[in-house]
Amino acid sequence: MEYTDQSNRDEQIRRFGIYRIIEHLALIALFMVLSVTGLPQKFYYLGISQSVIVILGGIDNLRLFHHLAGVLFAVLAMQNIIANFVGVAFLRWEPSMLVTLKDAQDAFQNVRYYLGLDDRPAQCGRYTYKEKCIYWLVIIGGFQMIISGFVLWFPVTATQFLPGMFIPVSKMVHTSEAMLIFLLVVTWHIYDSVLSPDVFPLNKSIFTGIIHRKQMKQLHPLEMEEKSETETVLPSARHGHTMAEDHKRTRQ
Amino acid sequence: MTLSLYRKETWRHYGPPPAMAVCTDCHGTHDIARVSGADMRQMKIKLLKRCSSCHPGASENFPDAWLSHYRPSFTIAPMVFITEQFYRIMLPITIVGILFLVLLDIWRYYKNR
Repeated sequence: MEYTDQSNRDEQIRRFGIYRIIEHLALIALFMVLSVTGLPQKFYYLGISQSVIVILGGIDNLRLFHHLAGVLFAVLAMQNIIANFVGVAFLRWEPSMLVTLKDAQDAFQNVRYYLGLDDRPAQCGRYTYKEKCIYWLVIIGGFQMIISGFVLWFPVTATQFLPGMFIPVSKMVHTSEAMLIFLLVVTWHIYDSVLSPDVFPLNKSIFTGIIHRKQMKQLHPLEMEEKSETETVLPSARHGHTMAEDHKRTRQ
Repeated sequence: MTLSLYRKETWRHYGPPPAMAVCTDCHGTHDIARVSGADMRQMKIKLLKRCSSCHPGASENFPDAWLSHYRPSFTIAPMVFITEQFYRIMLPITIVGILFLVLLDIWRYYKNR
């Protein structure tokens, strides 16, 4: 469901700051470039792969784009880790992306709810277990792909320190992990944030930074309970704010 | 894989393909060496020399990246084999599991209406 009624603007809540919005947009762009330049290398025998390779100027050009996007992805992943570490350690950000026992309980409760064994879905906080799962998959799988990607990019240097067998292992890890992340994103994440009846046609909060109060109550009821009235109503979102204010206002 | 990719790129698009290793670069003609036996060490040195012509600076570890003409198994390239089997099992289980959860979510939504 979508909340676009002008009269309800005061019912909107700032959920993400400009930093997280830009970070997510960058991740989408890099994910698309890496997919478009990576999948034709894995499935090189398909006609569509050949077409993509030809359009992008040949396999050498395709690999150049893939390497550039890979380096930018590595930078994005590193800054995310460093920013979150600094934020949690020194700026009092809440470590809301950490996986807890409650996430397992939420997942279990949702399965019970889906099967009709429970009458209400899991009550989630700032991030649901699904969002945490995708996040950690991208972070852990991403670092696996960064390391294996550099081994494949610089095989001569890598084999100065590692046994030669690490080259085919890296190739296996790189392509399989990429497939895992690609398929999870296009199935689970796209469903959860685009196609799910709860958010259809799109959960815009990561693009606009704001979410409707009703939707917040439905998707993140525990976070909604924690937010005080004065802290959450939109005015600052309408008038603009700094990144530092975002960090104070929204938990990372 | 690179060899296959270059071969797929026809001359029509990019002209002649760049220099790439083919069977006879390593084997010669009618003098294909045995892969086991006393001259294994000698063969590795020759292979390194061949690899270095396109990969200058390659160390003696480098030729081990080549899996010969065998499919990985517990006896040949076990690390590659175990990694391959891990993903062969994990990938379908994960994706089928996620699709199952998505379908359950949709089913529940329509049951609630």
